[in-house]
Amino acid sequence: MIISYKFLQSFFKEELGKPKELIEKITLHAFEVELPLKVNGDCALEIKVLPDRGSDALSHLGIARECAAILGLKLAMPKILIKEDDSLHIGNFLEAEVRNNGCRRYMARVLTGVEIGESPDYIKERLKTCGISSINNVVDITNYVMLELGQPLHAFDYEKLSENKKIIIDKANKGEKFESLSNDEYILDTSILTIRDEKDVLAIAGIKGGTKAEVKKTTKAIVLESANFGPNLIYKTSKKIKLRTDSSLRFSHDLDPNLAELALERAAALIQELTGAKVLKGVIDVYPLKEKPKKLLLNINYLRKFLGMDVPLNDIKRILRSLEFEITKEEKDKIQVEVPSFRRDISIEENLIEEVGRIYGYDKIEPVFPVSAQKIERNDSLYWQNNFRSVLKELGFFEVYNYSFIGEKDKADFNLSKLVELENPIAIESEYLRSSLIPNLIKNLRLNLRYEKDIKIYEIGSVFKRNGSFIEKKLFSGLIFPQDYSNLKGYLEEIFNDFGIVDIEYIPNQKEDFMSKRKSAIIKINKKEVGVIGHLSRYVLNALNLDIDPVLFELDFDIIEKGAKNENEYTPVSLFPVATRDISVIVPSNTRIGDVTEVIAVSEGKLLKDIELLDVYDNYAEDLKSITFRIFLQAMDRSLGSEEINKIHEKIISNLEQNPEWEVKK
Amino acid sequence: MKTENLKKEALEKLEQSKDLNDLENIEKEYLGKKGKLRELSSKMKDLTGEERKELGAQINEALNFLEEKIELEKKAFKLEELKEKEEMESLDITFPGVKAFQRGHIHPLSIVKKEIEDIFTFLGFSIIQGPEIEDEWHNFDALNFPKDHPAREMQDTFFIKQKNREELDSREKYVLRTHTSNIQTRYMESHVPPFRIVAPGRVFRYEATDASHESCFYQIEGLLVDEHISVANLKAVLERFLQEFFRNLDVKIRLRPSYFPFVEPGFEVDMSCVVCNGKGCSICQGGGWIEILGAGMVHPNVFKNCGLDPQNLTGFAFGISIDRLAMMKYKIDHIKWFHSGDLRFLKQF
Repeated sequence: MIISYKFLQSFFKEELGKPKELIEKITLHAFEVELPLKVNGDCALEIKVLPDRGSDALSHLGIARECAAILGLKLAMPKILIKEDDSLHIGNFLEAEVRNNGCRRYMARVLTGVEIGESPDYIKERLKTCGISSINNVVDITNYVMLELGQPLHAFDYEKLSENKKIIIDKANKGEKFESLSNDEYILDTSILTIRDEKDVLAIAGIKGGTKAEVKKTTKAIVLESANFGPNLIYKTSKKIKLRTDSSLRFSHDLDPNLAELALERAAALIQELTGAKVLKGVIDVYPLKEKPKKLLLNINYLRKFLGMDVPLNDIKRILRSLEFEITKEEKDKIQVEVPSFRRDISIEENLIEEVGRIYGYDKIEPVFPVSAQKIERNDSLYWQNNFRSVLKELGFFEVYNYSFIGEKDKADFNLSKLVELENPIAIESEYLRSSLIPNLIKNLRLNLRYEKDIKIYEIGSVFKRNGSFIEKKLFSGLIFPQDYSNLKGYLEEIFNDFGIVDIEYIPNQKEDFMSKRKSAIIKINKKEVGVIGHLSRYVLNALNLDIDPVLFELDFDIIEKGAKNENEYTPVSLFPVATRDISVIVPSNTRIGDVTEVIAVSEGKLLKDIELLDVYDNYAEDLKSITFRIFLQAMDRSLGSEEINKIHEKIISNLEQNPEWEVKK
Repeated sequence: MKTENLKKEALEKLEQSKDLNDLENIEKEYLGKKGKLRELSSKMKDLTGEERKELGAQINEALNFLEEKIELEKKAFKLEELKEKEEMESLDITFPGVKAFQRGHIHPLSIVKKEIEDIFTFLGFSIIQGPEIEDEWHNFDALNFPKDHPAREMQDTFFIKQKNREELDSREKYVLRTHTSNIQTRYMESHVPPFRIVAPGRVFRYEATDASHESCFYQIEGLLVDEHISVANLKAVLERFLQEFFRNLDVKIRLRPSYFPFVEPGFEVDMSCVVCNGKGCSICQGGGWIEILGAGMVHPNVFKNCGLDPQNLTGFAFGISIDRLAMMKYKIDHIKWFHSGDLRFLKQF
């Protein structure tokens, strides 16, 4: 909201001081203020009134009250002097009926002999500073008083009301048409509250006036309306018809119904003063549920403990009074406070503490560390996540963060189902929540291939599925290119090894999903399925139009985390030499290397330390392949003699050759 | 005194020697098996016992003396030789370092998140996590958001598609959490005070991306609840956190009035500018202060909604944007980089 410095000054006899210093004080004690803008001789202050203070502070009066409290100044309210015409009573000229409780108060006055013309300069200038253009004296005054006091007002041309001169506040009829003062047309419905005469809609209540009873140059008599409407109704209507006005903004914040009276009198007095109008005797005031001020108890000790600062009692009382609260009762350590009806945000003791604290100054509170002995729990999930990141960094992987969203195309390309869908996606291709981290990782791969040759990326993140209810879990997924399956498997085993996970199995993948059925494996750790490693299915590669074939993995982080251990058990180091022997086996080309290794491994338990795959040579012509292993033999207590070594070597060979299709090269 | 003469002669030659070769010749000439000194001893058999003894001693003394001298000279020549070799050597120290292998990198948000978590761990907070899909009760109602609060609308919050959504109870209506304050309500429902927790995580707002706004971003929410927790405590904890994070013990904070439905009073927390230490510079736009986080004292309604008795229970809560701290720490000018997946960006951390 924009505040005119001059307008604000008009509430005080004393000087407010330099705008820059004033702003600093308002910012620290009430609301944030943007740096001031100079507007021909005035200063426009943009004040960000907090959402709970819209009911009392969206006006120059509201800000002036804050200034009075902050600076310790006395507020000078505008003087209101109305000379009523005793011969003409309003009751003979206008009637008002409220048929809907969305209108909490309806007040009006009738003024005759109005001479429409220009406003005086001070009004025009102040309106201009606040960004409102001048129209004519009557309309300007309604705007001026709204800026001054925060109460939206409206003036209708009295003569244009239908013959019985009756104003009715009621819901619109379905399909009813309404033309606003800005000449926009609206089709109304029964949820919208209107101000009407017996024939037509005059205004959309609390939002915008219409053309029917518009005040024009020719206007001689006016109905001046000052009403109060419920905040929810105005907020909803304003959203529905997509029209936000200065009026709807204020009513949406729940204005004080008691303000209507002050504003009506102020505006009537100004119109009389500036146009020489006659004010008919009496006011129309329909106010079925009169608002009464609330009373709250404030415990002084609680306030001091809560703020952590010993505010003297006198200061507490002074501050509350300066904000127009009344101290109605004083007991030992407690005071009873009457809340002014315009402070609709105040309903509990802590609200009062805030008032005292902010005006007295939060800067006066000295920091004090809380003393509390409490047990701290280590977050294991985060502990493992952070360790994971360190290991992956050592292995040369980049961590990426992707959006949680995927689109219709991802869903189709990756053959995903049971996705959680958003009601209001922010963009196209982001209609769903990801159920896998892979689709976005593939996008990362594509992007980075333009600049990088060797890509190794991973992400740890939440994925979502719907299966009756919503299921959320944490996955750890990654991909590498152009390195291959054996590299990726090597990396994963390094990681598992670091976390003490040794029971790892690779099982052929039978699932119908986005992974290749022929070129991927299910990984089990500690006999539990944890995820998948391998290549994407041909169908997916084709749908993605991807001419490279990266290797990837997707693992359930929660399961890994549960299997992870902090300690690796130490193995004693043998001081005796290691002997090696190489073994080459010729096997049918569909033989799996793991099966051959298995036979070697079971041949010798104690002395066989390691088996290393040296080479695989494919002989496509004969549908065979030759695999060369190196075996490492070592004892804890002695050097192995060649006789012993040869015996083991021969045993391995004979075990391998038990398979009639396998032949060991000699 | 032949021995003495030979010794003298050898010493003279030594003095004139020019290189290792000369030394070896002298060694051979005097000390060798057929050298002049050895030859002398061959004449000993003609001498009497006393004389023999005396001559033997003289020869031995001369041999030892010369050997020592020659060794010293040899060392000197070798040093000379090393010196010459060293003078000949060179290395181009401007030769570029070879990048032998591809290093891995941790995402800057992970780095900053961990740093924040570590500081709060030192300050005695436990780290708690919670779900990203959240029901409206835990995300809004329990946090004292009124039913018609604008933040609850589709222009601000991602709604999960559900059948007849409008008719569902707020405990069955799901959204993507708009803050990690949902963890606050979940934790308070299931634990007994005192509480001292921080909750990091990904949050979602229905917001188009610009330099500082994103639809997915990261937040850490803090909660400290006990008997008699005060604004002074809040100030101490947050000031200490910022001092640690920016590694600057001169960092000060100030509180300004603010409003969030789940706290009363609410504060905007400003930090003295770490670039100019509060004197005013371009970073803080001359004011000396930078808006850094939101905080407040837990609203009694939040305690009630979580099944706690607000009597004798006070506490504070705060929310910190991890993205913002990361952007400040690394001087990143646009938030979009975090989700770019661009290795050229990521390899800088």
